[in-house]
Amino acid sequence: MRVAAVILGAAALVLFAVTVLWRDPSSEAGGIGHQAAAQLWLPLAVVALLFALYERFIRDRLTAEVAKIAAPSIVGALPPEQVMESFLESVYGANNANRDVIASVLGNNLTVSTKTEVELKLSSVSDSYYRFRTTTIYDFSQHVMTDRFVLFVTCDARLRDSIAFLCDFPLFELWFLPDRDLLQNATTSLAGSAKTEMEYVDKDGQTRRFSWRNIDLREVKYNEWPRYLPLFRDAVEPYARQHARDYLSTLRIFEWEFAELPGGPEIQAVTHFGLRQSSLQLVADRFCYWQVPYPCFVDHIDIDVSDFNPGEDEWQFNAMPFCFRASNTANSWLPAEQLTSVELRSWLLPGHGIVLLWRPAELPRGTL
Amino acid sequence: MKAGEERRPADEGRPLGLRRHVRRAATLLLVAGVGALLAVVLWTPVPGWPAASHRLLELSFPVLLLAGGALSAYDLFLGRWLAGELTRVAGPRIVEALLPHQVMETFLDSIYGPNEANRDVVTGILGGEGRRPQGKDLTISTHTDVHLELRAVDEERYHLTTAVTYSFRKNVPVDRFIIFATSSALLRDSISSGCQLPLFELWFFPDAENFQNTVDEMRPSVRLAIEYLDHEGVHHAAPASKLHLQEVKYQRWADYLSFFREDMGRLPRQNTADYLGELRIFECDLSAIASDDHRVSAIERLSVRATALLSIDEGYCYWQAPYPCYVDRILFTVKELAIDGADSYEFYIAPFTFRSNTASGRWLTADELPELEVRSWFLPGHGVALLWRPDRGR
Repeated sequence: MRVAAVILGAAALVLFAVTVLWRDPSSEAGGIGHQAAAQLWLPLAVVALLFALYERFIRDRLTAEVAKIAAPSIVGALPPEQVMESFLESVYGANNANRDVIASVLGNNLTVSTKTEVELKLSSVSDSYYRFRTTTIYDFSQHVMTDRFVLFVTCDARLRDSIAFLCDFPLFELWFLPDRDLLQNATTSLAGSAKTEMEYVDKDGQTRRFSWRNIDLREVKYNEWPRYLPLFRDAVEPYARQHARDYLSTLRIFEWEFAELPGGPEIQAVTHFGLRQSSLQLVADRFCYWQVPYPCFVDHIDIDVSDFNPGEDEWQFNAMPFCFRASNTANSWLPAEQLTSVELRSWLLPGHGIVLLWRPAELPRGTL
Repeated sequence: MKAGEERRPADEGRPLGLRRHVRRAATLLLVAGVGALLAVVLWTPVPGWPAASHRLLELSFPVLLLAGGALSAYDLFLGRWLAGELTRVAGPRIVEALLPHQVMETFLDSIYGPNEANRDVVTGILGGEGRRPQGKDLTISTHTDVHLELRAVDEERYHLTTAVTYSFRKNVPVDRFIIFATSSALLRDSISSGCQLPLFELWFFPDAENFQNTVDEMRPSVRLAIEYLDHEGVHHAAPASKLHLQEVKYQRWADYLSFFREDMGRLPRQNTADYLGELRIFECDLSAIASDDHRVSAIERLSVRATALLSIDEGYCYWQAPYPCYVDRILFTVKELAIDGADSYEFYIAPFTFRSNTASGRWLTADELPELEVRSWFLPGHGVALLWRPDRGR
């Protein structure tokens, strides 16, 4: 472009010089040449000037303008992974771990909950045990296309890390039970206690809804595991391919197929999904936590610890959020009646969540 | 045109047809121009109509030649160039040409739907506002080491020493380091988005009563080590040293935090006077710790160490990433939380991260507590909590 501008400019200059300096062409042919030069120099000069101006000033501005106008449609039209991948690489540099960021921002298969209700309820059962009930209700921005709900229960920390990013089914939940015995003995009853509520579009396009009811979770046999987790089929960075039989004592997978639903078995999309489950935990653990499985916009988290009173102690509670923002959190030790809700009004990405801690209110000096 | 054909073979009928017309027109114009020129040169007309036609030809041949030349040039070079230019401006590479915040905002709006809270995700992922080209206003640490050391002072209190080393992806063009200390949870969450200076540390002490004391005690413990470029672009390292932290007067807070000047997303403009007891800002001139009177122009690597006096019965401490950090490892030194022979403690690591790799999910003794090989990105809000309780086995 610059070269073209220079050549054209030079040609215009030569022609102009010819026009001006060569006043009296003697021959007729010379006259015609003079005439041609007189007529051509100006258009050539104008074109050269336009080229130069474009190169120097207009090009960048044009790029910015077109970018501004076209960006939403272009960025929206490209596959989300592609945009995120090239973008993160330009911002973070090339790194295998960028994949986690991409997967967590996009959600598994674009499962994104734009309105999420969360309730954590702790109630003591004995001096040593309490019942931890979590209720999560998701509203999906882009309707989730799936025919089943999958529940992973594991006591393997590495597996826990991978499942959120690797699960092939968009609607899933992951429970992490650190104790291997608990995994084998208590999981079945735990899974049996799960209840759901759901709104979905059936195959005729009709919206249907039901509220809390027990679901029939079926355990997936280990030889079917590769269908649920790609890690058991192929190597997935940074892990080599794993064999399902090595995880027999550390992983259990349950599923609930939507086949039995009215309007099923083929439903078009899930728009709203609620899950309530409870489990027995040790009071002595002194904390419990909740994390999101996919990107969730959480307005607030309801906490109910009014029935948590094991032993004779008075208890204090502290809610510590791990998320982009948590506007009103006091982050201080409060009695049960003062800790009822944590306002977040924030997006939570996988890894984000909240820890709830407790301790006896009156602390004998030095003994904690 | 050619570029268009190569890109969309299925669509080539129309461009080819058009191209044929362009070529034919260009040839016709050139032939007419040359014809007119030849006629002008070779034909000596008699006065009257022939002379007038000659004059007309004489005047029109340059125009015809110019038009033919322009069309041929378009056909041969300009068209291809134009298509290339359009592709460059509007193709997938637009993602790179855009400002980082434009991409992320557009992108998140399309998958999350429009929401004020998307802004937090944008600044969280970018490590800054992303309003300058080539990510010049972004703070991203590509190698981060975290060391938390807990050491009992007496039976009730302990010193928590947090030492973090950041290596920045792009040298951070700054010569000041800021510390925000606050007891307000609202400020804690807003400072990351509202602070326009890329290098800062945020201390949060929810205990409003002891806030001033805690900060005053912590202030002299801050140590900074930097690796930096001076104004000639030469690399230097300055070892950890005590530094002079100057307190910023509240009248100048608005220069440091945008929400004291204007609305920030959903957060309306805040009044500095409301936070007199809840916020303190300190700054340090990095050139002052640089060796040999260099002036610091950009920071490559930064190590920050600070010690806080906290209560043991809190039962937990934590570290959270201030901007996107690729964390290599997190190390806990906890043996001295128990004073000789007195109570010993059990510890639990609760990771709030994409991946935690080596976290065991069990209560462990001080000796068993592993070094966490995290090797994962932390976004703001991600972090790790360390909990403890008296060891009942003893």
